[in-house]
Amino acid sequence: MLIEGKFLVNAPRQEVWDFLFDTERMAKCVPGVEEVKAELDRSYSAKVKAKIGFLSATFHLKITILEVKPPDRLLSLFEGKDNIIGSTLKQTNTVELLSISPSETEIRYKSDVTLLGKLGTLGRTVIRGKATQMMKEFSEAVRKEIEKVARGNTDTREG
Amino acid sequence: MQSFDYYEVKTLREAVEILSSGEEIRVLAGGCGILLLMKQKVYFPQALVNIKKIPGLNYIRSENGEVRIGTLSTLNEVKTSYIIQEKIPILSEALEYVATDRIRNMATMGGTLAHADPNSDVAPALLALEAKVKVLGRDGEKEIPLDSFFQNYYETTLQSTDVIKEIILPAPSSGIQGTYARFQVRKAMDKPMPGVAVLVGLEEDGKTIRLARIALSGVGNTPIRLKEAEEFLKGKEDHPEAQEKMASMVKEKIDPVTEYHYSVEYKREMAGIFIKRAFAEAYRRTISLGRKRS
Repeated sequence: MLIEGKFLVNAPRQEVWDFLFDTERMAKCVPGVEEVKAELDRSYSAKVKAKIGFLSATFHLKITILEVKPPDRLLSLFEGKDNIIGSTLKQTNTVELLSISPSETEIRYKSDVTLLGKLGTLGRTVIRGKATQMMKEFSEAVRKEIEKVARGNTDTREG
Repeated sequence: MQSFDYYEVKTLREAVEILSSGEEIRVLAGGCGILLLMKQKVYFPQALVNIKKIPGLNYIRSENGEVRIGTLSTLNEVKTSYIIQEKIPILSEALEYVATDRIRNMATMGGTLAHADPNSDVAPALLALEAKVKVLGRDGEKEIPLDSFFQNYYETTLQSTDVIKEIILPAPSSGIQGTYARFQVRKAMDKPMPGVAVLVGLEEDGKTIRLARIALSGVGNTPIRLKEAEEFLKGKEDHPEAQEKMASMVKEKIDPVTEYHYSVEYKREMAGIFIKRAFAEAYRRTISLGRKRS
């Protein structure tokens, strides 16, 4: 299942790139995230709760950075399980940053999501719809978080 | 199936009290949605509260220009009800498409709405009819317009301690007719993509649109009503240009996602086609009703 999109952020590309590696700020933007821990060797562990109606699944994820090309491209892999419902998630993510102007960056994302197990009972439409919705929420949160800090930096520079 | 507590209650008030006593306590009525998820080991409630044995919640009444359907009325009871067929035939027409007789004999109207399936056949008809849901909760009774009831995939505005008591339908005034149309890849047991309900009322001249109601399911995270397109149609006659404009408004408003059988573009296109077909049929039926009267 391929989910892709793009959105514009009012911040220079380098700031956006730095944000991608700021675990604390990044975690705040992920819908349903309960904890994130930086591990050794460009990997992280995370606990993410996904809710569809009255059903919920908690995924214990291992996030591995597979490829880094600063400040353009980041390739990562999310792998994990929900032990209660019994579902497995594997997600390969590509994030590309395109400098539109010195103060504007376009973020392009592409996620190839494979969800195996009983959550699939809900049907492809619902799972894809929910995943797309979560990506939209995530994009919006990322845009706000980056712009909040970028605005602060501009204010400081101007002040 | 994992073990859970089971309660049978005699009143809705008792059900609300039990629902208020803990987390993950769910109402059981027809059981067609929740039991399936439990058997598939996707959902593990702490307890179920069976309301099926509460007397007096299975009725279809016509009073004061409204039709009231008790929460425990089964889909087949509603579908075959003389009152529904005479006053709100669009609902009967939509129910014909839901699953099979065996399921329609078990599934209840309250349960169907609480389950909030985005691919519902019933919801567009009820949205077009401007239905309200009467709910009993910890703070007493309240009425929720169906328009604001569905929130997301399988999510409604119902609190975990709320139980649906009845569905209230203002019976359309005379001279209004409608239809429900849908598309699906396979015929049997498929969900609609889209499901479309349209109601049309005409002015005395017998051709100018006085009222239009349009609702859709299967093309987003909830069933939706399309008020912009309804407003646009008011004061117009059935004309290909008006139909095209209405269809493009609908295509723009919906937010579908790609799935196995259908791409986003295909879903938008089919929503436009089925809206036009349903509208043309509703318009034809309304004219034909006018002719019968005169």
